[in-house]
Amino acid sequence: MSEKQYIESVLKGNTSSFNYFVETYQDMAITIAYRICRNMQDAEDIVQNAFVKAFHNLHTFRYDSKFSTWFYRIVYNTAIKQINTSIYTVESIDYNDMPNDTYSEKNVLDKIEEDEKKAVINQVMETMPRDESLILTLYYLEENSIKEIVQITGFTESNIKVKLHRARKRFGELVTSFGNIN
Amino acid sequence: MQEDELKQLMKGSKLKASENLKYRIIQQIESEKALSKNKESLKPSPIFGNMFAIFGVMYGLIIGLGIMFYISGGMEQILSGQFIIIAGMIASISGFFWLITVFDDRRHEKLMNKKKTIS
Repeated sequence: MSEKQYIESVLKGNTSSFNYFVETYQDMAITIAYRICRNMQDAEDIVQNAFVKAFHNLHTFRYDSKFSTWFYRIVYNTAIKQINTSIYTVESIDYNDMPNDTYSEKNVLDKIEEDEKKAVINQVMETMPRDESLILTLYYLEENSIKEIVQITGFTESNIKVKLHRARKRFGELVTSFGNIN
Repeated sequence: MQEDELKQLMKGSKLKASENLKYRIIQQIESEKALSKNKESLKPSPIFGNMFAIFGVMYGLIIGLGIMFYISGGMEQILSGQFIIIAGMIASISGFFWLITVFDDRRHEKLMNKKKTIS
């Protein structure tokens, strides 16, 4: 089934079809929400609220963008609204303890190296300004175009290009310094 | 830093949702769906509510007018053109007023639905 068919199925009243969207987009949604709120529990609440909003407003989706673009905009707006209305305590997370994606079939030393690399990258993302880490996530991880990032965040195209340039530079510097420290 | 290198490094930054998040989401959706169905069945139709109020007042006025005319001139006055014209005017104005309220309720409902979708 295509995404359009899943959408039509949900709009006809078949709630179980919405499982497809939850399974497909929840990880990226959590990543986006976490980049903004820097708290895993709140990120999950944000994603939960965003999915519920998306479900109730699915009839307003006009197919003039990708579903992911439309949905990530909801996640972004929900996250921004939440951080503006609550006091946040930033938790420090040991990324070595976080559940990972499926491991590659390398030997143990390679696996440790991979885990350490992931820990460094996530620490770097945590250190960067929220908007820069978010734009890097959307551009490189989700491979969204600049126009799509404009639709998701509401920033202007020139603003995003400037932030992306700064983010790349800062990311490179931080990876080098964190990598050296570790 | 090269683009490919950056892209490769970023792959490790994707987070994973907890196992029970999907179930929480679907459960919340199902609960809200069930609750909204109950609310819709309990909500009385505003059209009929308005109808009874407006036409109730209309009939009240016509009956009151009929009684006044009967007292002043008996059955002849009630059957006179004057009474019929006044009763007709009251009925027309009431009908027109009812149409406006129905139109306004529909417009208000559409506006509320629009506000819900934007938020």
